[in-house]
Amino acid sequence: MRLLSRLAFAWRRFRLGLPLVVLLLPGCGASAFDVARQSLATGAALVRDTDVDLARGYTDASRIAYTQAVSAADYRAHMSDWDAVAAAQTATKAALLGAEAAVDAAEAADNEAGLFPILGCVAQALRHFTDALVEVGVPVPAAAASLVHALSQYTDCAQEVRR
Amino acid sequence: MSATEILKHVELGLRLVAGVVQAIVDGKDLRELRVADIIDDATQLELAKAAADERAKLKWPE
Repeated sequence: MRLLSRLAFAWRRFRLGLPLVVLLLPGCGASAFDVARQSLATGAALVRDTDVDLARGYTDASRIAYTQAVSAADYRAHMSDWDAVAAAQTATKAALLGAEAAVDAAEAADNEAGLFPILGCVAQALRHFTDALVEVGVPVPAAAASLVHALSQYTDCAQEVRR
Repeated sequence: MSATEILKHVELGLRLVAGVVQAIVDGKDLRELRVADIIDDATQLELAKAAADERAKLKWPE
């Protein structure tokens, strides 16, 4: 009965992919909190796996801008796309660390509903980051693209699931 | 929701299930899977930006 209510609750909130998880996991001794942690780990892996390519791209772009720009403002203008991706990476890192602390708190309070606004914040940060990656031509790993797609039903940080 | 979107959601669900189940099989506690262990305190991109900013500041001092 608890399993059915969890599934119905998750179906209303998460639609499809995650209810499947919630259906399958209780028999394995896992919880929605475990799924949330796995989602955060997937987001963190996106930051880690794109980091070297981004650093190399940033350095190359900055060398070109350094020789072509005529002023500090001109340099920043040349670097605007790369600065945007750097800011998005920093914001994503902060969102993931903040979300992790929030998941810890939700789990300590046994509050599964508390996960939804957390996922909204993570979704927003990941969406900005992947958009910025595309702008500078760095490929988005498939697992991360799937995660961003699945979380796309969350509109903004701390908002409810779009109906 | 289109069939493609449904399949993507299912795919993600299965990926997450696989990850969580694998962690359980391996005897790992997912609470020990910390973001800070996956991402460095200072990323390579942040270091590259800091170095580039420093170089630019030397060329165009404020």
